[in-house]
Amino acid sequence: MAKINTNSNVYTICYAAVLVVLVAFLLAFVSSALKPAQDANVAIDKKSQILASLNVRGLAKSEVEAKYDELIEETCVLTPDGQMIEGADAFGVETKEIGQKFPIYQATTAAGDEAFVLPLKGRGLWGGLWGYVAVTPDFKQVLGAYFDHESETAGLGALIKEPKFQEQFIGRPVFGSEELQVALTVVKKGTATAQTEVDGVTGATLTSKGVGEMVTAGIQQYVDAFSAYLDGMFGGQEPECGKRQQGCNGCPEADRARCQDGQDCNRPCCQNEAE
Amino acid sequence: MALFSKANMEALTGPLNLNNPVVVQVLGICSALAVTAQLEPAIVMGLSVTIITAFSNLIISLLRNTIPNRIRIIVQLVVVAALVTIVSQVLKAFAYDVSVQLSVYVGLIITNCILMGRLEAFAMMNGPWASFLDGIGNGIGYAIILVIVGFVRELLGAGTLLGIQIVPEWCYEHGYVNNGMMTMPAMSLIIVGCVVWAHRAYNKELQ
Repeated sequence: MAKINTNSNVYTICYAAVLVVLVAFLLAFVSSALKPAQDANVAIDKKSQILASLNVRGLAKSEVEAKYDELIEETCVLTPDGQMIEGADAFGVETKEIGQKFPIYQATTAAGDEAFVLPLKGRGLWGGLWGYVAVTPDFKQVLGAYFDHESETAGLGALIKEPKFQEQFIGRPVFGSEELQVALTVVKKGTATAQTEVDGVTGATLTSKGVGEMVTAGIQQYVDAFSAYLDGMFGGQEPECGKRQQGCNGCPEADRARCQDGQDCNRPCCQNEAE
Repeated sequence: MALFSKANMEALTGPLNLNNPVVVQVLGICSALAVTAQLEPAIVMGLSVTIITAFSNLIISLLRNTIPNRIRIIVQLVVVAALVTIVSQVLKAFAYDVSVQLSVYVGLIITNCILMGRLEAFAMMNGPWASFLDGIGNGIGYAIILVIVGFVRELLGAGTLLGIQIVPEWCYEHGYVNNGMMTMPAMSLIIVGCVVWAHRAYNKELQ
Protein backbone atom coordinates (compact mmCIF):
# COMPACT_ATOMS: atom_id res chain seq x y z
CA MET A 1 0.00 0.00 0.00
CA ALA A 2 1.39 3.32 -1.01
CA LYS A 3 1.89 5.59 1.94
CA ILE A 4 -0.28 8.69 1.70
CA ASN A 5 1.48 11.99 2.15
CA THR A 6 -0.43 13.43 5.11
CA ASN A 7 1.22 16.80 4.68
CA SER A 8 0.00 17.57 1.18
CA ASN A 9 -2.44 20.42 0.70
CA VAL A 10 -5.06 18.26 -0.98
CA TYR A 11 -5.00 15.72 1.83
CA THR A 12 -5.20 18.42 4.49
CA ILE A 13 -8.19 20.12 2.87
CA CYS A 14 -10.02 16.84 2.23
CA TYR A 15 -9.33 15.66 5.77
CA ALA A 16 -10.65 18.89 7.27
CA ALA A 17 -13.76 18.83 5.05
CA VAL A 18 -14.59 15.21 5.78
CA LEU A 19 -13.99 15.63 9.51
CA VAL A 20 -16.18 18.71 9.76
CA VAL A 21 -19.03 17.16 7.77
CA LEU A 22 -18.84 13.95 9.80
CA VAL A 23 -18.86 15.76 13.12
CA ALA A 24 -21.68 18.05 11.98
CA PHE A 25 -23.82 15.07 10.98
CA LEU A 26 -23.02 13.27 14.19
CA LEU A 27 -23.98 16.27 16.34
CA ALA A 28 -27.13 16.95 14.34
CA PHE A 29 -28.15 13.30 14.58
CA VAL A 30 -27.52 13.08 18.32
CA SER A 31 -29.30 16.35 18.92
CA SER A 32 -32.44 15.47 16.95
CA ALA A 33 -32.58 11.87 18.16
CA LEU A 34 -32.43 12.91 21.80
CA LYS A 35 -34.66 15.99 21.54
CA PRO A 36 -37.96 14.40 22.71
CA ALA A 37 -36.34 12.84 25.77
CA GLN A 38 -34.60 16.11 26.58
CA ASP A 39 -37.76 18.17 26.19
CA ALA A 40 -39.62 15.85 28.55
CA ASN A 41 -36.84 16.25 31.10
CA VAL A 42 -36.88 20.02 30.71
CA ALA A 43 -40.64 20.17 31.27
CA ILE A 44 -40.42 18.04 34.40
CA ASP A 45 -37.54 20.17 35.64
CA LYS A 46 -39.55 23.35 35.10
CA LYS A 47 -42.46 21.87 37.02
CA SER A 48 -40.21 20.88 39.90
CA GLN A 49 -38.78 24.42 39.96
CA ILE A 50 -42.29 25.86 40.22
CA LEU A 51 -43.06 23.37 42.99
CA ALA A 52 -39.87 24.42 44.80
CA SER A 53 -41.20 28.00 44.95
CA LEU A 54 -44.26 26.54 46.68
CA ASN A 55 -41.88 24.93 49.21
CA VAL A 56 -42.30 21.45 47.78
CA ARG A 57 -38.73 20.27 47.35
CA GLY A 58 -36.84 17.04 46.79
CA LEU A 59 -39.55 15.15 44.90
CA ALA A 60 -38.56 12.16 42.80
CA LYS A 61 -38.88 12.70 39.06
CA SER A 62 -41.92 10.40 38.86
CA GLU A 63 -43.85 12.28 41.55
CA VAL A 64 -43.44 15.74 40.04
CA GLU A 65 -46.26 15.55 37.49
CA ALA A 66 -48.89 14.41 39.97
CA LYS A 67 -47.89 16.94 42.60
CA TYR A 68 -47.86 19.72 40.02
CA ASP A 69 -51.38 18.86 38.86
CA GLU A 70 -52.49 18.76 42.48
CA LEU A 71 -51.08 22.13 43.55
CA ILE A 72 -51.41 24.28 40.41
CA GLU A 73 -55.05 25.18 39.98
CA GLU A 74 -55.09 27.54 37.05
CA THR A 75 -52.71 29.56 34.97
CA CYS A 76 -53.05 32.65 32.87
CA VAL A 77 -50.88 34.98 30.84
CA LEU A 78 -51.16 38.78 31.09
CA THR A 79 -49.92 41.46 28.75
CA PRO A 80 -47.92 44.33 30.34
CA ASP A 81 -51.09 46.47 30.56
CA GLY A 82 -52.97 43.78 32.45
CA GLN A 83 -55.05 42.19 29.68
CA MET A 84 -55.47 38.46 29.85
CA ILE A 85 -54.35 36.65 26.71
CA GLU A 86 -57.16 34.29 25.76
CA GLY A 87 -56.31 30.64 25.68
CA ALA A 88 -52.64 31.14 26.50
CA ASP A 89 -50.96 28.61 28.73
CA ALA A 90 -48.54 30.04 31.28
CA PHE A 91 -46.42 26.88 31.19
CA GLY A 92 -45.76 27.42 27.49
CA VAL A 93 -44.29 30.88 28.04
CA GLU A 94 -40.51 30.64 27.82
CA THR A 95 -38.23 32.46 30.23
CA LYS A 96 -36.97 34.77 27.50
CA GLU A 97 -40.51 36.00 26.79
CA ILE A 98 -41.05 37.27 30.33
CA GLY A 99 -41.25 41.04 30.16
CA GLN A 100 -43.58 40.98 27.17
CA LYS A 101 -45.83 38.35 28.67
CA PHE A 102 -46.56 37.78 32.32
CA PRO A 103 -47.46 34.18 33.10
CA ILE A 104 -49.07 33.59 36.46
CA TYR A 105 -49.79 30.30 38.19
CA GLN A 106 -52.54 30.18 40.73
CA ALA A 107 -51.55 27.54 43.23
CA THR A 108 -51.52 26.23 46.76
CA THR A 109 -48.31 26.11 48.77
CA ALA A 110 -47.10 23.05 50.67
CA ALA A 111 -48.63 24.61 53.78
CA GLY A 112 -52.01 25.00 52.05
CA ASP A 113 -51.95 28.77 51.50
CA GLU A 114 -53.32 30.27 48.32
CA ALA A 115 -50.52 31.74 46.23
CA PHE A 116 -49.66 33.30 42.89
CA VAL A 117 -46.41 32.03 41.40
CA LEU A 118 -44.63 34.68 39.37
CA PRO A 119 -41.85 33.59 36.98
CA LEU A 120 -39.01 36.11 36.84
CA LYS A 121 -35.93 36.60 34.70
CA GLY A 122 -32.78 38.62 35.23
CA ARG A 123 -29.04 38.76 34.70
CA GLY A 124 -26.28 37.54 36.99
CA LEU A 125 -22.53 37.94 36.66
CA TRP A 126 -21.88 35.50 33.81
CA GLY A 127 -25.28 34.78 32.33
CA GLY A 128 -29.01 34.69 32.75
CA LEU A 129 -30.89 34.15 35.98
CA TRP A 130 -34.46 33.06 36.42
CA GLY A 131 -36.72 32.29 39.30
CA TYR A 132 -40.21 31.66 40.58
CA VAL A 133 -41.56 33.66 43.50
CA ALA A 134 -44.78 32.63 45.21
CA VAL A 135 -46.68 35.54 46.76
CA THR A 136 -49.98 35.84 48.56
CA PRO A 137 -52.87 36.84 46.25
CA ASP A 138 -52.66 40.43 47.54
CA PHE A 139 -48.94 40.46 46.61
CA LYS A 140 -48.05 41.65 50.10
CA GLN A 141 -46.00 38.70 51.30
CA VAL A 142 -43.61 36.16 49.83
CA LEU A 143 -44.57 32.55 50.48
CA GLY A 144 -41.62 30.90 48.79
CA ALA A 145 -38.95 31.39 46.16
CA TYR A 146 -36.79 29.45 43.75
CA PHE A 147 -33.85 30.83 41.79
CA ASP A 148 -31.62 29.27 39.18
CA HIS A 149 -28.83 30.38 36.89
CA GLU A 150 -27.19 29.57 33.59
CA SER A 151 -23.52 29.85 34.46
CA GLU A 152 -22.76 31.50 37.78
CA THR A 153 -19.51 30.55 39.53
CA ALA A 154 -19.72 27.14 41.19
CA GLY A 155 -19.50 27.44 44.96
CA LEU A 156 -20.17 31.19 44.97
CA GLY A 157 -22.87 32.66 42.74
CA ALA A 158 -24.27 29.18 42.15
CA LEU A 159 -25.31 29.11 45.82
CA ILE A 160 -28.44 31.10 44.90
CA LYS A 161 -29.79 27.73 43.76
CA GLU A 162 -29.50 26.31 47.28
CA PRO A 163 -32.61 26.09 49.49
CA LYS A 164 -30.60 27.81 52.25
CA PHE A 165 -30.52 31.03 50.23
CA GLN A 166 -34.04 30.73 48.83
CA GLU A 167 -35.72 29.96 52.14
CA GLN A 168 -34.63 33.33 53.47
CA PHE A 169 -37.38 34.83 51.30
CA ILE A 170 -40.23 32.99 52.99
CA GLY A 171 -42.50 35.36 54.91
CA ARG A 172 -40.83 38.55 53.73
CA PRO A 173 -43.02 41.57 52.94
CA VAL A 174 -42.98 42.59 49.26
CA PHE A 175 -43.75 46.28 49.65
CA GLY A 176 -41.89 48.85 51.73
CA SER A 177 -43.37 52.00 53.15
CA GLU A 178 -44.81 53.06 49.80
CA GLU A 179 -47.90 51.26 48.61
CA LEU A 180 -47.46 49.12 45.52
CA GLN A 181 -43.73 49.92 45.28
CA VAL A 182 -41.79 46.67 45.53
CA ALA A 183 -39.02 47.03 48.10
CA LEU A 184 -38.03 43.38 48.38
CA THR A 185 -34.38 43.04 47.37
CA VAL A 186 -31.05 41.37 48.17
CA VAL A 187 -28.27 43.22 50.00
CA LYS A 188 -24.71 42.43 51.07
CA LYS A 189 -24.72 39.85 53.84
CA GLY A 190 -25.03 41.43 57.27
CA THR A 191 -26.15 44.88 56.07
CA ALA A 192 -29.89 44.23 55.98
CA THR A 193 -31.79 46.96 57.83
CA ALA A 194 -35.38 46.13 56.91
CA GLN A 195 -37.55 43.04 56.54
CA THR A 196 -37.59 43.60 52.78
CA GLU A 197 -33.79 43.22 52.57
CA VAL A 198 -32.54 39.65 52.20
CA ASP A 199 -28.93 38.61 52.86
CA GLY A 200 -26.90 37.97 49.71
CA VAL A 201 -24.22 35.32 49.14
CA THR A 202 -20.75 36.13 50.48
CA GLY A 203 -18.21 36.40 47.67
CA ALA A 204 -20.89 36.65 45.01
CA THR A 205 -21.82 40.32 45.20
CA LEU A 206 -22.75 40.70 41.54
CA THR A 207 -24.85 37.55 41.40
CA SER A 208 -26.66 38.60 44.58
CA LYS A 209 -27.24 42.02 43.11
CA GLY A 210 -28.62 40.39 39.96
CA VAL A 211 -31.10 38.38 42.03
CA GLY A 212 -32.08 41.52 43.95
CA GLU A 213 -32.72 43.49 40.76
CA MET A 214 -34.61 40.59 39.21
CA VAL A 215 -36.88 40.30 42.24
CA THR A 216 -37.50 44.03 42.65
CA ALA A 217 -38.01 44.91 39.00
CA GLY A 218 -39.68 41.62 38.09
CA ILE A 219 -42.34 41.69 40.78
CA GLN A 220 -42.87 45.40 40.13
CA GLN A 221 -43.79 44.58 36.51
CA TYR A 222 -46.41 42.13 37.73
CA VAL A 223 -47.69 44.67 40.23
CA ASP A 224 -48.00 47.24 37.44
CA ALA A 225 -49.81 44.78 35.20
CA PHE A 226 -52.08 43.96 38.11
CA SER A 227 -52.47 47.49 39.41
CA ALA A 228 -56.15 47.94 38.59
CA TYR A 229 -56.95 44.85 40.56
CA LEU A 230 -54.54 45.62 43.39
CA ASP A 231 -55.91 49.15 43.81
CA GLY A 232 -59.22 47.55 44.48
CA MET A 233 -57.58 45.25 46.98
CA PHE A 234 -56.02 48.03 48.91
CA GLY A 235 -59.45 49.59 49.12
CA GLY A 236 -60.26 46.72 51.47
CA GLN A 237 -61.77 44.24 49.04
CA GLU A 238 -62.07 40.52 49.45
CA PRO A 239 -59.03 38.69 48.13
CA GLU A 240 -61.06 35.62 47.27
CA CYS A 241 -61.25 34.52 43.69
CA GLY A 242 -64.48 35.58 42.01
CA LYS A 243 -65.14 38.40 44.43
CA ARG A 244 -62.18 40.48 43.55
CA GLN A 245 -63.84 43.75 42.85
CA GLN A 246 -67.06 45.55 43.33
CA GLY A 247 -68.58 47.17 40.33
CA CYS A 248 -66.61 47.45 37.17
CA ASN A 249 -64.08 50.08 38.17
CA GLY A 250 -61.39 47.50 38.77
CA CYS A 251 -61.82 46.07 35.30
CA PRO A 252 -59.20 46.77 32.69
CA GLU A 253 -60.52 49.47 30.40
CA ALA A 254 -61.13 47.17 27.46
CA ASP A 255 -63.31 44.98 29.64
CA ARG A 256 -65.18 47.76 31.34
CA ALA A 257 -67.89 48.22 28.72
CA ARG A 258 -68.46 44.50 28.61
CA CYS A 259 -68.69 44.42 32.38
CA GLN A 260 -71.20 47.26 32.44
CA ASP A 261 -73.31 45.30 29.98
CA GLY A 262 -73.66 42.80 32.75
CA GLN A 263 -71.19 40.27 31.39
CA ASP A 264 -68.24 38.76 33.16
CA CYS A 265 -65.23 40.95 33.49
CA ASN A 266 -62.10 38.93 32.98
CA ARG A 267 -59.79 39.19 35.93
CA PRO A 268 -56.50 37.42 36.17
CA CYS A 269 -57.00 33.71 36.47
CA CYS A 270 -60.68 33.80 37.29
CA GLN A 271 -63.97 35.06 36.00
CA ASN A 272 -65.45 37.82 38.02
CA GLU A 273 -69.05 38.02 38.93
CA ALA A 274 -70.29 41.31 37.58
CA GLU A 275 -72.88 43.16 39.56
CA MET B 1 2.73 -6.39 24.80
CA ALA B 2 1.28 -6.75 28.26
CA LEU B 3 -1.65 -4.51 29.07
CA PHE B 4 0.03 -3.30 32.24
CA SER B 5 3.62 -3.25 31.10
CA LYS B 6 6.11 -0.98 32.84
CA ALA B 7 5.71 1.77 30.23
CA ASN B 8 1.91 1.67 30.50
CA MET B 9 2.00 1.77 34.29
CA GLU B 10 4.32 4.75 34.06
CA ALA B 11 1.76 6.52 31.83
CA LEU B 12 -0.89 5.83 34.45
CA THR B 13 0.92 6.60 37.70
CA GLY B 14 3.49 9.20 36.63
CA PRO B 15 0.97 12.05 36.49
CA LEU B 16 -0.15 11.32 40.04
CA ASN B 17 3.13 12.50 41.46
CA LEU B 18 6.37 13.27 39.59
CA ASN B 19 4.66 14.32 36.37
CA ASN B 20 1.53 15.90 37.89
CA PRO B 21 -0.32 17.97 35.28
CA VAL B 22 -1.01 20.89 37.60
CA VAL B 23 2.03 21.24 39.85
CA VAL B 24 4.71 19.95 37.47
CA GLN B 25 3.42 20.41 33.91
CA VAL B 26 1.56 23.58 35.02
CA LEU B 27 -1.54 22.81 32.95
CA GLY B 28 -5.16 23.47 33.88
CA ILE B 29 -4.42 26.25 36.33
CA CYS B 30 -7.32 28.40 35.11
CA SER B 31 -9.96 25.81 35.93
CA ALA B 32 -8.30 25.10 39.27
CA LEU B 33 -9.22 28.68 40.03
CA ALA B 34 -12.79 28.53 38.82
CA VAL B 35 -14.24 25.46 40.48
CA THR B 36 -12.43 25.06 43.78
CA ALA B 37 -14.35 27.41 46.07
CA GLN B 38 -16.08 24.26 47.32
CA LEU B 39 -15.13 20.62 47.47
CA GLU B 40 -18.07 19.20 45.54
CA PRO B 41 -17.59 21.06 42.24
CA ALA B 42 -13.87 20.29 42.49
CA ILE B 43 -14.60 16.55 42.67
CA VAL B 44 -17.16 16.71 39.84
CA MET B 45 -14.78 18.66 37.63
CA GLY B 46 -11.92 16.28 38.42
CA LEU B 47 -13.99 13.25 37.46
CA SER B 48 -15.33 14.81 34.27
CA VAL B 49 -11.87 15.84 33.11
CA THR B 50 -10.55 12.34 33.84
CA ILE B 51 -13.20 10.71 31.68
CA ILE B 52 -12.98 13.20 28.84
CA THR B 53 -9.17 13.22 28.78
CA ALA B 54 -9.09 9.43 28.66
CA PHE B 55 -11.53 9.12 25.78
CA SER B 56 -10.24 12.03 23.71
CA ASN B 57 -6.71 10.64 24.17
CA LEU B 58 -8.01 7.29 22.93
CA ILE B 59 -9.71 8.76 19.85
CA ILE B 60 -6.81 10.99 18.88
CA SER B 61 -4.39 8.12 19.36
CA LEU B 62 -6.44 5.98 16.97
CA LEU B 63 -6.46 8.80 14.41
CA ARG B 64 -2.89 9.89 15.00
CA ASN B 65 -1.40 8.47 11.80
CA THR B 66 -4.03 10.08 9.59
CA ILE B 67 -4.05 13.58 11.06
CA PRO B 68 -2.37 16.17 8.82
CA ASN B 69 0.39 17.83 10.80
CA ARG B 70 -0.55 21.41 9.99
CA ILE B 71 -4.13 21.23 11.26
CA ARG B 72 -3.58 18.78 14.11
CA ILE B 73 -4.55 21.25 16.86
CA ILE B 74 -7.82 22.07 15.10
CA VAL B 75 -8.56 18.37 14.64
CA GLN B 76 -7.88 17.77 18.34
CA LEU B 77 -10.15 20.63 19.31
CA VAL B 78 -12.97 19.42 17.05
CA VAL B 79 -12.75 15.91 18.49
CA VAL B 80 -12.76 17.15 22.08
CA ALA B 81 -15.60 19.61 21.50
CA ALA B 82 -17.71 17.01 19.68
CA LEU B 83 -17.08 14.43 22.39
CA VAL B 84 -17.99 16.78 25.23
CA THR B 85 -21.10 18.03 23.41
CA ILE B 86 -22.34 14.52 22.65
CA VAL B 87 -21.76 13.37 26.23
CA SER B 88 -23.63 16.38 27.58
CA GLN B 89 -26.53 15.78 25.15
CA VAL B 90 -26.80 12.13 26.14
CA LEU B 91 -26.71 13.06 29.81
CA LYS B 92 -29.41 15.66 29.25
CA ALA B 93 -31.68 13.01 27.77
CA PHE B 94 -31.00 10.14 30.18
CA ALA B 95 -29.53 11.63 33.37
CA TYR B 96 -30.95 15.11 33.53
CA ASP B 97 -29.86 15.90 37.09
CA VAL B 98 -26.24 15.05 36.32
CA SER B 99 -26.36 17.15 33.18
CA VAL B 100 -27.68 20.17 35.08
CA GLN B 101 -24.85 19.72 37.59
CA LEU B 102 -22.28 19.55 34.79
CA SER B 103 -23.66 22.24 32.48
CA VAL B 104 -21.44 24.86 34.09
CA TYR B 105 -18.35 22.76 33.46
CA VAL B 106 -18.86 21.93 29.79
CA GLY B 107 -17.11 25.08 28.56
CA LEU B 108 -14.36 24.69 31.12
CA ILE B 109 -13.71 21.09 30.09
CA ILE B 110 -13.48 21.83 26.36
CA THR B 111 -10.97 24.62 26.90
CA ASN B 112 -8.98 22.80 29.59
CA CYS B 113 -5.29 22.92 28.71
CA ILE B 114 -4.72 19.46 30.18
CA LEU B 115 -6.72 17.93 27.36
CA MET B 116 -4.86 19.75 24.61
CA GLY B 117 -1.56 19.30 26.42
CA ARG B 118 -1.92 15.53 26.73
CA LEU B 119 -3.29 15.10 23.20
CA GLU B 120 -0.34 17.01 21.80
CA ALA B 121 2.36 15.57 24.07
CA PHE B 122 1.21 11.98 24.40
CA ALA B 123 -1.68 10.77 22.27
CA MET B 124 -0.14 12.00 18.99
CA MET B 125 2.80 9.61 19.40
CA ASN B 126 1.59 6.67 21.49
CA GLY B 127 -0.78 3.78 21.05
CA PRO B 128 -4.46 3.85 22.07
CA TRP B 129 -4.22 1.82 25.28
CA ALA B 130 -1.21 3.73 26.62
CA SER B 131 -2.93 7.00 25.68
CA PHE B 132 -6.09 5.95 27.47
CA LEU B 133 -4.12 5.18 30.65
CA ASP B 134 -2.25 8.46 30.30
CA GLY B 135 -5.60 10.28 30.15
CA ILE B 136 -6.86 8.52 33.27
CA GLY B 137 -3.61 9.21 35.11
CA ASN B 138 -3.51 12.89 34.21
CA GLY B 139 -7.18 13.34 35.01
CA ILE B 140 -6.73 11.84 38.46
CA GLY B 141 -3.54 13.82 39.03
CA TYR B 142 -5.51 16.96 38.21
CA ALA B 143 -8.41 15.88 40.42
CA ILE B 144 -6.09 15.35 43.41
CA ILE B 145 -4.84 18.92 43.25
CA LEU B 146 -8.36 20.28 42.77
CA VAL B 147 -9.60 18.33 45.78
CA ILE B 148 -6.74 19.61 47.97
CA VAL B 149 -7.41 23.21 46.95
CA GLY B 150 -11.19 22.79 47.25
CA PHE B 151 -10.80 21.19 50.69
CA VAL B 152 -8.70 24.08 52.06
CA ARG B 153 -10.83 26.79 50.47
CA GLU B 154 -14.18 25.42 51.56
CA LEU B 155 -13.02 24.59 55.09
CA LEU B 156 -11.41 27.96 55.76
CA GLY B 157 -13.69 30.05 53.58
CA ALA B 158 -17.09 28.72 54.58
CA GLY B 159 -16.42 26.39 57.53
CA THR B 160 -18.08 23.53 55.67
CA LEU B 161 -17.05 20.46 53.66
CA LEU B 162 -19.33 19.18 50.88
CA GLY B 163 -21.86 21.63 52.27
CA ILE B 164 -21.86 20.08 55.76
CA GLN B 165 -20.95 22.40 58.63
CA ILE B 166 -17.55 21.35 60.05
CA VAL B 167 -16.47 24.29 62.20
CA PRO B 168 -18.68 24.04 65.29
CA GLU B 169 -21.01 26.85 66.31
CA TRP B 170 -19.14 27.63 69.54
CA CYS B 171 -16.04 28.63 67.56
CA TYR B 172 -18.09 31.39 65.92
CA GLU B 173 -19.49 32.38 69.31
CA HIS B 174 -15.93 32.77 70.59
CA GLY B 175 -14.95 35.13 67.80
CA TYR B 176 -13.83 32.81 64.96
CA VAL B 177 -14.74 34.17 61.55
CA ASN B 178 -14.62 32.50 58.15
CA ASN B 179 -11.78 33.76 55.98
CA GLY B 180 -13.60 35.54 53.17
CA MET B 181 -10.30 35.74 51.24
CA MET B 182 -10.54 31.98 50.67
CA THR B 183 -13.67 32.37 48.58
CA MET B 184 -11.81 34.69 46.21
CA PRO B 185 -10.29 33.06 43.09
CA ALA B 186 -6.83 34.51 43.80
CA MET B 187 -6.45 32.36 46.91
CA SER B 188 -6.58 29.18 44.86
CA LEU B 189 -3.38 30.26 43.09
CA ILE B 190 -1.69 30.83 46.43
CA ILE B 191 -2.81 27.41 47.64
CA VAL B 192 -1.60 25.79 44.40
CA GLY B 193 1.69 27.63 45.03
CA CYS B 194 1.89 26.11 48.51
CA VAL B 195 1.18 22.65 47.07
CA VAL B 196 3.97 23.14 44.49
CA TRP B 197 6.31 24.23 47.31
CA ALA B 198 5.57 21.18 49.44
CA HIS B 199 5.78 18.89 46.43
CA ARG B 200 9.18 20.22 45.34
CA ALA B 201 10.56 20.19 48.87
CA TYR B 202 9.65 16.51 49.10
CA ASN B 203 10.77 15.53 45.59
CA LYS B 204 14.28 17.03 45.48
CA GLU B 205 14.93 15.76 41.93
CA LEU B 206 12.36 18.21 40.53
CA GLN B 207 14.30 21.24 41.74
